[in-house]
Amino acid sequence: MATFADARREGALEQSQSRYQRVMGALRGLPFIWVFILLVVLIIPGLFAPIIAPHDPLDGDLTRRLAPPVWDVEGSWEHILGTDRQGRDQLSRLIYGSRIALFVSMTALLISATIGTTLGLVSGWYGGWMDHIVQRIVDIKASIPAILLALIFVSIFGQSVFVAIAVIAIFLWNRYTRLIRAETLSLRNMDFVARARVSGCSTPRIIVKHILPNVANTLIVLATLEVGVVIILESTLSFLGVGIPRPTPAWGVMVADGRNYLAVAWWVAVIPGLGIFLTVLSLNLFGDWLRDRLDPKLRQVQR
Amino acid sequence: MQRYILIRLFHGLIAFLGVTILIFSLVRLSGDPLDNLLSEEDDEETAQYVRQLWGLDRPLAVQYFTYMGNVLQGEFGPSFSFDASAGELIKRRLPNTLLLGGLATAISFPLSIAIGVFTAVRRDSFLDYGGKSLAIVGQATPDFWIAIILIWIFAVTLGWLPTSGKGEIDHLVLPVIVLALPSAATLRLMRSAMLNQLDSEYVKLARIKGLPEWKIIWKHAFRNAAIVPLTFMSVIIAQLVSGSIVVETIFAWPGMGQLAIQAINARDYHVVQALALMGSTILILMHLVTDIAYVYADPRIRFTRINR
Repeated sequence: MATFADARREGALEQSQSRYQRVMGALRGLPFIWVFILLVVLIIPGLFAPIIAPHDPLDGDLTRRLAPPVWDVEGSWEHILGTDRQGRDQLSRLIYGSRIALFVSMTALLISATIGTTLGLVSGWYGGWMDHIVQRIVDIKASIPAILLALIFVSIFGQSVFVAIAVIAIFLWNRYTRLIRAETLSLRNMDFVARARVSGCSTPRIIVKHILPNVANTLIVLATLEVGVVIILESTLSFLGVGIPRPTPAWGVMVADGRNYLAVAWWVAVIPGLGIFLTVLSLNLFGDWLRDRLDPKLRQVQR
Repeated sequence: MQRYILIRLFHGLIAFLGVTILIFSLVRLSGDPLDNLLSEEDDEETAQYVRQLWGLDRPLAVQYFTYMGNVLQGEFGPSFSFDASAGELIKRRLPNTLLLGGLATAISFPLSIAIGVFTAVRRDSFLDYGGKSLAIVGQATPDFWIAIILIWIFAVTLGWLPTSGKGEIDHLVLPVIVLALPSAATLRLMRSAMLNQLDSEYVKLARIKGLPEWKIIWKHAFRNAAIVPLTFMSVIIAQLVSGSIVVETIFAWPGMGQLAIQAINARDYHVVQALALMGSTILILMHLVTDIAYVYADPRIRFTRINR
């Protein structure tokens, strides 16, 4: 006959099982391989670049210019991915490039999400004139091509990491506005908002405490899907010489540096691009998974 | 309908004013334009003349309208690094850019629409999966890197095509391919629009009625689905404007995109400004045309799309 203690133990087991199952359930379909690649290519090197990098990314060995990668007959373990035209270790530059990509994408994302969400909340909540003004600002933003905006900014403020971040942030806020506005519009007339108002909440409090938490999932999913866009835009600007200034080892800069050496040293231009490709691909696939878990209705949204 | 178009025109006008004011004030922020307009040797008389020509002695609001007046007459100011005015430079470079962009659109748009329809009809076929994988890969690949890879393979290693420059027809192949690739996004869009249509009641009715399948696809489903890529046109054009800067820089193609990068490297403000104005105006016009075309194609949308 089962004792009370047995029953309790079984209950605990059941609970622990369900917790385990809950965790596994939440991770169902998680593309582990892409998360792994993301960690290896972007996050770990981005956070720990000085510890991991075997060489100085800026200081080259001029006697070892355009050294081939290790799998080449002339390659050596000294420079696993070879060196560029100034003898700088490509692997170290790639690792430091992850740090740039991580820093730029996170800051640009934070700024653009803040601008976009604020405008979206305001125009969705207040509607009317406020909405009209925000929509016209969106129109104006949509009318300036990103690269041309970057050109104007660089011609005025010079080339720096912060100008690049500003350009990217200014360029990418409008998607948040569109989605958050639509969500706010539908939340505005819900009962819980009316009840909050009746119980004496001020408008800012309702927006921050009641609307914002309800759009958080959309925000997280959209932000994740935008990281890839930010990285591609940043690398394109850097490639064109209007993004991250030299000699900072941004991936786009590295591809540009290797452009003229394709015939003698293809790895200088091709490998950094592979870094961009793997990072963005894994980010997008991870974002797709997150979207399906958190906010399936975003599936309709074009990317 | 007319009301919608009028409102849409009004919005376009606001956007145009906004963009020009923005560009104008950004450039003014950068310092006294006289420093840029004059060279070291110019005397006070020339300075006076230039100041009057550009209305720099008058209030900012008036200056803006003087500036816009000049711009509308194609007078963008002198270039410091080229032997022509900014307007003249643009006029010279425009045909090259149009050639590249036109070819890319003319090839990619019909092709991706056709493949989009095909993959929708043959859903879950080999081609469909191929298209899906390519779309995922393409979304993660920066165009400049694709261009580098293509040059590496076809120009440097195989030697089939020239690496860059303008010349015989073979100089067009790689730039047009790279420029056309991003608009392959239309393919996926067309596919999902087609799938939606093929799933609808009227298609079922047409099938029951015994219409031949090609007629159902092209005459019924396609006509309704084609609205979706139509609305996507303005996005494609925006990509083309940005894309041509990248492509022309990599392939040393003497168009406006290459000019933009050359101008920025030479800190040639007038040229940069003129190109930014051109690019923005093209986008505003495209948005306008798309939105209006959209109402004609689908009369259900009158006001719902005004405040997207």
